[in-house]
Amino acid sequence: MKNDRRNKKERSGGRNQISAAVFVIMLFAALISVYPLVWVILQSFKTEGEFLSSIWSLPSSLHFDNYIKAFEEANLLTYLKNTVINTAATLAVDLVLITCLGYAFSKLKMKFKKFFYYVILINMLIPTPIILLPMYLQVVNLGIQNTLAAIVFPYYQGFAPLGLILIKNYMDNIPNEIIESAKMDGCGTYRILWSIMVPLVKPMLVTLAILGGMNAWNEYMWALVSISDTSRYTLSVGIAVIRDKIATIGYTPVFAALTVSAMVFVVIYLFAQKTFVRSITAGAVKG
Amino acid sequence: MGKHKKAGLLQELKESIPAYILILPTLVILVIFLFIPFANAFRISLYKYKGYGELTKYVGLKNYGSVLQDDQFYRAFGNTFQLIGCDLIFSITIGFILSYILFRGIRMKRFFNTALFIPYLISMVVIGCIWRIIYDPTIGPLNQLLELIGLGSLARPWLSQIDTALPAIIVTWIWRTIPFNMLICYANIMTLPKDHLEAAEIDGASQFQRLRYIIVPHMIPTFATLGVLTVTNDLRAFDLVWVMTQGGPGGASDVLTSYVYSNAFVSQKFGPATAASIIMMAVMIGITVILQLVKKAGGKNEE
Repeated sequence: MKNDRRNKKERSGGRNQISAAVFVIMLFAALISVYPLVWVILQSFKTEGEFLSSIWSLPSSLHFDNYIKAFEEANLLTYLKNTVINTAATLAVDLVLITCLGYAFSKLKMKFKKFFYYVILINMLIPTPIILLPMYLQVVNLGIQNTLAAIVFPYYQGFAPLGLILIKNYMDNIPNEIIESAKMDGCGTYRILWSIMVPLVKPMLVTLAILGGMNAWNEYMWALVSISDTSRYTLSVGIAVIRDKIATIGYTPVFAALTVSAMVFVVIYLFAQKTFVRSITAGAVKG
Repeated sequence: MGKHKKAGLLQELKESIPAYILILPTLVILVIFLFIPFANAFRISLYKYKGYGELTKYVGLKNYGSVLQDDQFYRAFGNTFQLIGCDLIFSITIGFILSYILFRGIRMKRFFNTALFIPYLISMVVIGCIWRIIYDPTIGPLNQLLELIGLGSLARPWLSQIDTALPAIIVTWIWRTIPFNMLICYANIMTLPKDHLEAAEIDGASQFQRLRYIIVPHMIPTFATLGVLTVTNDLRAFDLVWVMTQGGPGGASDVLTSYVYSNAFVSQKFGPATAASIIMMAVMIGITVILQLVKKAGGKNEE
């Protein structure tokens, strides 16, 4: 009996040591995860001289000059504005058309449904580089280069398969009786979609908005290929341009620009952590 | 009889009209921005093409031949699979271990949950810019840190040396993908029925036994999903590589997508570049089919 207790005590002592070690490892992991961003933020408030004399020091006071320089001289404001417009327009198209798709595939009679479903999903097997050049030629042919359409439709095209899978699964779980009874009450197909389905799938629309929003906001390759007008550059393309200007505008304005670009989703995440996590988890479906 | 069938089909098509109207805009967009370009890709791959004007110089399969004879193509191929291999091994394992620690409970759990997820919230382009500065030979924090702790001899120009450029990119890539794998593992580990674990604890199963015989088996489907996502995602790797090295120095860190991109949009060799991207797609589809077959076989064994 006594022996038993001592054993237990010894074991729990070992366990405490282990959990202390685990805690230290976790602290180290958290440091590695967060420090690069924290370091960039700290540098963004320093003067160029402070930064060059020591990269480890804290800023002596909060210099916002770097931000002003980044926004004005380095065109960060233009890039940011373009990205907001592109993302908002893409999201509008994403949400409206994907809701239509979901309703059609989940709740409506459709001849050749399977065929059309795979026509939309097949995109998941086509790597973007294949269509990069022909899509660019297409955009030039249509005369829409450097317009919103040349950004929004290709982004929608890329997001539609995942969006369709997610919203169809979600709508499949909504009982058909709701729709049947609305039909009895004389609601037409589109009325049911708008005033019954849309409110019911709101949580999924939020998920799609987060996933599609991150897609559109962060996209790089297509923006790099298709946008030739520098005044229409997106943040992704623009930030790389700003980074290459270190020699002329100095390091610290570049840190300010990086801070602004990096913090957008970090801030959204901090305010809506649960929604964000739910959305990203939902998005982890394989095609 | 035949007439009857026809009338039935017409009736069905008529009833499908509301659905067709709803999917029509998407189909139009896909035709213009996906299917026509996709068909054109096959045409372009058979021509010598500078990227503008009409396709005139038909060369047959020569572009495919020149890609398959290009050492750099195989190098990019190898690099892509190094990236995939490291990502599969390190990112998923570390992601799982972190999620397991969070699952078991730890002080300041909320803080760790939030902090460990931060890298995933920053875009690949911004991460590439930040890490390029981190790896900078003179003002970069990595080299300065090494000197600070007396390991100055290890300091080097990480991204401009042939043997360190790709590993440096892979480390950054893994740093960015761990949070995603952690999040998905955590969400799935939480679905483990609590009474299973409690029953095992009462039966005297040790911490390790519970991990080995209950948690890991429970997580196998999650690992499979993450594996597929990792492979398909990494085959498309471009942003980070392009921002950090553009595939350099001397092509040492080229991956498939950056190889295609620089052949097309830097060297203006659109025919071979498109041929390479079609070969890449064939490989991707091959891998997807193999993964599905493996999954099916695995599923049968479980039964």
